[in-house]
Amino acid sequence: MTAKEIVSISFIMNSISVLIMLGLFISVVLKKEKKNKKDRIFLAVTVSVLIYALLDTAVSIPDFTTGSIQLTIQTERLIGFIPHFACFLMALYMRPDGEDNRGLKPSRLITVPVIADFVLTATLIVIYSDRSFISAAGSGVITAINILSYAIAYYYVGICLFEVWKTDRVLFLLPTFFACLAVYFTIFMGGPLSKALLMSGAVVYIYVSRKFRSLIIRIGGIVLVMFIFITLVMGNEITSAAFTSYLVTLHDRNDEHLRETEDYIESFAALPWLVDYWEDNPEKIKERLLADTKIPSEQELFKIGVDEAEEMSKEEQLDFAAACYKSIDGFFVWQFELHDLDDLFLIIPYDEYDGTVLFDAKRSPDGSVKLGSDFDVFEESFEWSNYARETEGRMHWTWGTYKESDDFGFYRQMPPSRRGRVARLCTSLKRSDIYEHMDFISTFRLTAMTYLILVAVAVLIILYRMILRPLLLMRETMRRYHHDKDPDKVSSDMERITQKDEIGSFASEFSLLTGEMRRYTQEVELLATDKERVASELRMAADIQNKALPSKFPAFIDKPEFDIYASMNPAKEVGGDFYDFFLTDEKHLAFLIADVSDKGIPAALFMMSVKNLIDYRAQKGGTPADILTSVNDQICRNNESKMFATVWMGILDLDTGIVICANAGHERPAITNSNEEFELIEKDKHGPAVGMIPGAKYSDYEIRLHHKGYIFLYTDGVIEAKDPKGEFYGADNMLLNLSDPEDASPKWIIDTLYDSIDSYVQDAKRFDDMTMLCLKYLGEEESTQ
Amino acid sequence: MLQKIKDNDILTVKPEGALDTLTSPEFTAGMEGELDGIKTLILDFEKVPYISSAGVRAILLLQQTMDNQGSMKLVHVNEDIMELFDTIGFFNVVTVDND
Repeated sequence: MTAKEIVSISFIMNSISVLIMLGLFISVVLKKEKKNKKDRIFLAVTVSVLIYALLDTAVSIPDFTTGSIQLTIQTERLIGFIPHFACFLMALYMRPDGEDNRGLKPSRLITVPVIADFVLTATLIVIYSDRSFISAAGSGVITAINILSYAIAYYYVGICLFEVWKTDRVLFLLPTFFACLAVYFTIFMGGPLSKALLMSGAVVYIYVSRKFRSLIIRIGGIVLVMFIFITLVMGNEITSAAFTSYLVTLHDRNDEHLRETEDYIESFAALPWLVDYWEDNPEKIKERLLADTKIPSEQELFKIGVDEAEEMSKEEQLDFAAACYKSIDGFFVWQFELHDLDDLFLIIPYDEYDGTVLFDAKRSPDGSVKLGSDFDVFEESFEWSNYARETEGRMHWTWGTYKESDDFGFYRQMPPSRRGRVARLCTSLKRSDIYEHMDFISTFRLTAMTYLILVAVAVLIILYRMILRPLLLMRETMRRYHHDKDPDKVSSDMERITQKDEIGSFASEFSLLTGEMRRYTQEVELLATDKERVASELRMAADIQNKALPSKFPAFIDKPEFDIYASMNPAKEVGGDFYDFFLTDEKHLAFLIADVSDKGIPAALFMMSVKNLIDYRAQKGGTPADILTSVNDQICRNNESKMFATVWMGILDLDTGIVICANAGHERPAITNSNEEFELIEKDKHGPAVGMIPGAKYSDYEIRLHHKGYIFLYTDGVIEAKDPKGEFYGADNMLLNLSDPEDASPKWIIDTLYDSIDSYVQDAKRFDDMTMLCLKYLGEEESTQ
Repeated sequence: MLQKIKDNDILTVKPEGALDTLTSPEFTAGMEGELDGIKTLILDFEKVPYISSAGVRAILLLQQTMDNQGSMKLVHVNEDIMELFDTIGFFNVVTVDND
């Protein structure tokens, strides 16, 4: 495969990558969704790159077609920069936390030209390297390291540009700085190999960082960038210093030889005349040199001045010039061989590119001296051009690459001839020496880099052990803690982190936290148990309270004179309301309803005691007033907590329907009148609630129940039931709903009223106990009083 | 909720809203420690629309304290509450001065 073919393929591959970019560009343009900021940036950058690429390709085509390989390699480097830059764009466009939702996978697409370019550039290097393949590979390793840094740097450039827009992350600022440097180096100094490796490196890094979102990779990236940068700077500084000093030494040595030669030449007093004569008569001199003539001694030749030479006859002049030439030529050859020089010659330059040769230690192919032969930088070789330029003693080390045009040659100017010709005495540094030394320096640099990379790895390991490993352990511990909720395991795990720094204190805080969590959980559990216990006790209390009230209906099967029904409905588990009924003797039924101040357990306790006191006192006989007066006294005796109960109590004579009753601050009961309509008792003489006033007297009054008449007792929970708007149910509403019982049973009446209240209250919360008692008298009505 | 005006040994308390099972404990708690050195306690019921037996008990407890150190009276008691007080015989215990 010829170089031209290689360059052609490289050119084609680069064109392909340009096409891929074009494709991406079009796909973004045609994107259906609204274009965001990222898209617009992508478009802007792509357009500029495409314009650049097209211009560059157009410029490079003539070079390419003429097949001037040297120039084409330069151009290839420029064009090759396009996929390189495209890769940078991709890194920018598909930063790790972004999503490329257009189906194309730029990372995969870009791999093709990247690999192709890599292979081609590597081949080019091997073909056009005057060194061995191994040496080329060695320099490839160095460039590979450079490339990795560029790759990471490019990746970060992409990220940072976006991250800095979104948030200000200090972590990314440092890599951004390095990235900019790296980009600068790549653009202005990078070789083709570094470029190719850089691209593949970028793709790999992007892939890795998208796949593994690990701290160590991110930190590692930064550390590597920093170390590689340091390595690059240091390595270059060291190399540059060492190589420059070596070159200066070489130069000084050669310059010394030049000076010796110059001194020798200037020993000829007729030199200004000789230079002109040599230049004018090269052929005659050559002829005369071939003839074996006697040469005068050097001392004699030195003495002859310009004026003397001019006064000689033509034949004498030729003899003199040839003799001098022979002496000097001999000196040239002697110097050349003695010091093992690369070059030694004297030329008269006409302009920058050509001139004529006077002396050259090397011979022409036919073995004759080169006197009078022309030199042309294009026709001869590149080396000649160095001697034609005014670059005396200037030597450069250019970033680890050997260039064919390196300025290793230099010259001394001779005094002007009579015609004003200024001859140049030239030499060059011996290439083999330089290359040998360069290889040595490269090895040295490579070693230094290797050590620095090892240090970077060591730093990473230390970072891993100090930060990442404890963090990972904590994460694992937390995960397990989620499952087993075992703080002991957590603290035993956390004890493995023995550091005394922030990580260590974090671990111990975490351990303490889980301990706290356990205590808290236990407390909550304890509270829950307590709550459960209280709830079950309350249920039992409610059970006791319910069973303390007569709850078997029908209650008196053997008493046809009446039908009674009652119900209690506490707002909380236990209530402060109660009802009661019992026969005081064969002919009398005592019935009562009471409402204790407040609700809940205190009210229930008080209620039980009031109930029992009334019950007990009633068994001893007496009217309700007597009973209430007596109970009131008993309660007031020990009532620091000022509990009180409103009580309405009546005793029904089963034979007559007459009820003797007394009221201790309770709601007036409702009874049915002759029209079978419920109304509140008008003549209700009431006293204070039981327990309120010590020594209070209660008085009886009498009501009559006619046959099939009802009396309805209730607590304020009934009339003060509230609808969602907070309106009371009210006594009027109650009476309305009680009306027209039509011979119904007391149970039916109470159930009906309940339903009515329920539908009134709807879903408003009920705060008060609700208790009702209904008695239907079925006995004889006392005809006349 | 509970407005208090203290003038030497006279304390005027103006509760706002109904005094029932839910609000009475709040009222009692609000009065805690307020009665030290008070000779006259005035309960202004202007903004109390309704009172339940729990509220009555709270007043009863205040009355008990004031019986030992001075006097207490209720003012601006509305008709509904007056009726309730009448029903449970509360006027025998507390002084209501609606003028």
